[in-house]
Amino acid sequence: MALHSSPIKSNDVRLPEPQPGEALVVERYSAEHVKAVILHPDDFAELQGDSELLDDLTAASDLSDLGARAHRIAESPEGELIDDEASVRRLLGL
Amino acid sequence: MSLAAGEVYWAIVPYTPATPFKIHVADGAPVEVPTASQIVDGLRKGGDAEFEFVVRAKARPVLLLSGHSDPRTGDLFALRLHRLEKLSDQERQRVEEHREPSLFHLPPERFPDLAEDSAAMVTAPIRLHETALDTRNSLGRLDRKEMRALVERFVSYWQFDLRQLLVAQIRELQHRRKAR
Repeated sequence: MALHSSPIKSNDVRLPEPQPGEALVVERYSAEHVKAVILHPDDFAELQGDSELLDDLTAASDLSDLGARAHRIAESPEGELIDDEASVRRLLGL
Repeated sequence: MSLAAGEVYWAIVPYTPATPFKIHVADGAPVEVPTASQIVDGLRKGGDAEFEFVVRAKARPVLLLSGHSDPRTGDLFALRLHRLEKLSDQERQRVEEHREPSLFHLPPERFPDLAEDSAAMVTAPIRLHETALDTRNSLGRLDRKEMRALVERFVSYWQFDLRQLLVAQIRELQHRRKAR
């Protein structure tokens, strides 16, 4: 899943203006607790683009018709079922 | 049916067959065979003959390693779970603190319907048919970040050689970034 954005109107929040290439880290209590990171829109667009690219790269490949047929054949019993005790023991040399 | 990687469901899971093998016969107790080679030799002698084996199975919660399933096969890939109550206090703590690579702790808060504190066994992957899964109720789900960590452990443990795939993906990434 690619990084998604949730728009907020600028009237609803007061934010500093980050410069391109700069990440403003909003800390809560200490540097160990980061509440938010503010990026320049260009940097966010790049990050989002990278996230989408990575997401595309990990897309699963589909099973081909041949693969599905081979799977079906492998899972289908194809021989004669031996379930009488005498025949089982004879085949196993018991 | 919508399944996702990291979800836990109840499933019918057979024990891995091991010696002595038990062969079903129509009128009588199963025939026990002490070695695999006896069965291989016997069946090869019998042309395309097949036996029905008696395999013990149990209803177990399993964690889906992948949500990907092709309707033509119905197969799913999952990991068996291990109950932490079966471990010593020290071992249990080790698992909970993610210091034991073979057991991935499932945070109880994310698995409210899983009765006991458990860990996914990196060493115990299983292939399941979707009909062996009770899909009425997911017992919980790992989030994306946790699943990535679990898959990383799985790939490391089984020593999958992903070099070729990684190189190809890095090249593809470079190509797409240049084209942007």
